[in-house]
Amino acid sequence: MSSEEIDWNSLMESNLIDKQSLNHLILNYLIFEGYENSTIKFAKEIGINLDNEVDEQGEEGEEDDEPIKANIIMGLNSIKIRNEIKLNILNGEIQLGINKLNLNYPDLLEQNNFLYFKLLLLNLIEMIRKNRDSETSIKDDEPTEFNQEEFVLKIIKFAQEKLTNKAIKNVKFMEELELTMTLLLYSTNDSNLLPLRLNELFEFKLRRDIADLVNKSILVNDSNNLIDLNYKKNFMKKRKLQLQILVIMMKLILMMMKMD
Amino acid sequence: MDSINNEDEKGQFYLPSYLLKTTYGEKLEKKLSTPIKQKNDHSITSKLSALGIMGNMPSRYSNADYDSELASIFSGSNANQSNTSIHHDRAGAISSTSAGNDSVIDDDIHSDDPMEEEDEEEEDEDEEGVHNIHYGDEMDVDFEEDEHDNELRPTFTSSTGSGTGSGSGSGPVTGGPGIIRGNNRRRTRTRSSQSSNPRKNSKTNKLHSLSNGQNPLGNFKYSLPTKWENSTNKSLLVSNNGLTLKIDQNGNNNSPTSSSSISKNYDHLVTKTNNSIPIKVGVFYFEIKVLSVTNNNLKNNSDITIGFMNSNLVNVTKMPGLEIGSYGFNGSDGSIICSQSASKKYNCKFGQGDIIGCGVNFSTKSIFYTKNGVFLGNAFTDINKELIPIIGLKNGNSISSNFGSNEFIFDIDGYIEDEKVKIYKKIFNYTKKSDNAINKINTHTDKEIPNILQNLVSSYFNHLGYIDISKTFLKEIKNEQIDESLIKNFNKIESISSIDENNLKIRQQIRKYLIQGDVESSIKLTNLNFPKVFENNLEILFQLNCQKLINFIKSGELDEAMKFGQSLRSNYETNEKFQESLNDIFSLLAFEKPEDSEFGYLLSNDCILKICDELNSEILKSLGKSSISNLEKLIKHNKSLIEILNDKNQLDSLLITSDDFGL
Repeated sequence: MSSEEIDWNSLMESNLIDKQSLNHLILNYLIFEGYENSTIKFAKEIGINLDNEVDEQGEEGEEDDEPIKANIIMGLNSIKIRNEIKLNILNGEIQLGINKLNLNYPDLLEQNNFLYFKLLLLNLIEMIRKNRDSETSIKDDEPTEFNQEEFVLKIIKFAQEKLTNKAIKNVKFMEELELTMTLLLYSTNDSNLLPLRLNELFEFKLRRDIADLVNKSILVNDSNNLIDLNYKKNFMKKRKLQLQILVIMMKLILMMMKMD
Repeated sequence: MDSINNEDEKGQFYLPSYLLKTTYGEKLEKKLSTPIKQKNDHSITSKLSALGIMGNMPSRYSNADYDSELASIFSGSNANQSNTSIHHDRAGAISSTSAGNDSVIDDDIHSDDPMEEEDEEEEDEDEEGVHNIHYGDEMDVDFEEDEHDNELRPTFTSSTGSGTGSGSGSGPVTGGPGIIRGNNRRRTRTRSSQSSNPRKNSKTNKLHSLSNGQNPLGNFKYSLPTKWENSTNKSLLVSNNGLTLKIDQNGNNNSPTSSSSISKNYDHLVTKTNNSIPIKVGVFYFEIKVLSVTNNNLKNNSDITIGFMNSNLVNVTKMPGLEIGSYGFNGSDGSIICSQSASKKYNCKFGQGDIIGCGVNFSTKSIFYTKNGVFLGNAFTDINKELIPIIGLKNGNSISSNFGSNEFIFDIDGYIEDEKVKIYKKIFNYTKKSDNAINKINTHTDKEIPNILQNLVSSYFNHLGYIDISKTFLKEIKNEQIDESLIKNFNKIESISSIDENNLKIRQQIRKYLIQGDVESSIKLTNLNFPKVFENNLEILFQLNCQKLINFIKSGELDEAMKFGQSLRSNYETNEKFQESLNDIFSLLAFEKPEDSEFGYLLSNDCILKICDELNSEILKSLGKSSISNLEKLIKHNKSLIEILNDKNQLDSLLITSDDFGL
């Protein structure tokens, strides 16, 4: 083992990191996640002029640099709206998020059935969650029961109007919808009493996942407007979220090493 | 052959671009690019000092090379052509001498076309050759038809255009300073294109000595298959460049030695390539084109069998697949066969004009074939040994092959990209399954990944002393903390960054001074707060002083610059490396518009930012903190792990390069 450790140190030393691409990676992350102010400040700090490229999308300047830059600052145009929508979803204001999405990207949800369905489903879950939370705060018995009935009808109506027609075409959608609807069968607030799969629906991770999905969809939609197919290809395949890949890969590799 | 159109072909061999997508190729590239860059820098300095632009005459110019070098700079190309024999410059790298060597040493490869030579010399005049090592495998051989050749590489020119393109723009210029300007501008461009187009770096065992045996790639050996070996059987003709194979139907008439073997018509004549394919290469791919078949009436099926064999087999004599440890795809019926087993139906047959690609993917342990650019699917699986490409031909067959020197018909780059996407998917999905304990831990941490990322980024900002950004960032991510555990985590991040706030503020101030151009204040402030920095590290102080000097030049205070520069020069008299850097800076003074010159990069903001980062990391070091940020550590860690996995020939890691995570 000792020999391996020595190798390890020299290996760590030998792997030099290009500072500039590291900065680009960070910038890519900031833009991806929609941290507008940080992006502007950071770009200024590392000497990348954002203003130029925002309108030109890399048509000016030296040919050698432009594709790289255009790639890095991809998604800058939508940075604000993406962050808004992301926060809406993270805070459970799904309908608000959907409205904003429809306002800014009128075709996106129409074309992307999967995304739309996921959002509506999340909306349904949030409605149920909200009801449950308010139920705990109001201790009165009678009005609750009345509200409860009204609430269930409301949920069913929502599901019927918006979700069923989408779910009918897709077995997986239907399964998910069914699972979500079973939430109505449980009136407990204690998450420990819920079956695992149902409990997962109430986890905040779901919100984050959907928010990520929306974020990515907008970015992909943006990249569709780019003329150069190469950027697009690159973007779709690689420029997802490299930092995230990095961390996950790291864990995975560590695991593989352990198993060896 | 068409030597004028295919300017690119004549001397350069690039690493096939698909290889760059694997860890193996990445390593090769690293090996290749490092010495070349040094060479390049060196040569520029030499040239300018030769012209007396930089004060001192380096001792290395006290020899005879100097005169011819100087002569060639002033008279442009002429010196090259007339004075071939004394032109040994280091700077020009590929001189006409080496062009001459091409035809002498590699007479087996070079065509006798006089145009070829001339072209080559023209390129030398452009001195483009500094990083383009000549190789000759591109040359046609006599019995290969031109049109076939061109068909096989239709996109070649466009794909490699950028490197040569940067050079071809500037013809030979005459007159003193004009040359320098011209040269320098191109050099800069070349350098940038070099970094963006790693493919331009060259390779192969056919490396030509650059000058005086100073081949910077001397220790580099490209050890993948590049050509077919000569067969023991004389009737299997291998062209000089090793890329074209032919069985002469009339061979038995001409050469009596082969008459016995050619008579057995159903026997395949088999040959293998010069090198084997190590597992760690990840993916190897080559293509052959069927030029002629046995029976002219049945043109769409051939008796060619192509495949691989385990490299531990010394030789094969039977058709690929008929011996244990060999794999073959047969053109007569489109079947595949391996290790003596019965042949299986795989795809349709192939014949004259078809281009067949053979690939091995060690990360999926499979061998696959392509036909005319179409993927035919995996043919063999469970490949876990080093392989050598082999091919079996019958009477009348001839083929030409492409081991990556030309563009492939099949989109092998895309293939690798797709394989990578599969690996990503595997990685991402890996965390979703919770089959065993290890995975469960992982699913748990999966929730925290956004948080980990935020933590990393925030610590990166702190590390660099971007206190302003760090605060903005924290403010922006605060809204996202919706979960209790997340909030807890967030508070941790916040508290960490506030601990060092004072220290951070000083570092930021130092940074601000530097960016504003006030080097003096930043040095003072550093000395005041972190006195150890300059004690321990002379170089950073020197660099700061250089920056000061550059600032003088920038603002046009040339007298000040001279004065300060001379004091620097005497202060660091003993250090040769520092003197060289000073030479570079002084050379700025020689230009009317320094920012357009070769040394213009010294004036750029990137340079300042780089020094900022270096000073910052020195300060951190002096405080006993890590000089690299957590993020960098993570990446280094990651890279190292991948390297280790690669050495152990772990499957998926073979295809992951640092480019895949953005670095």
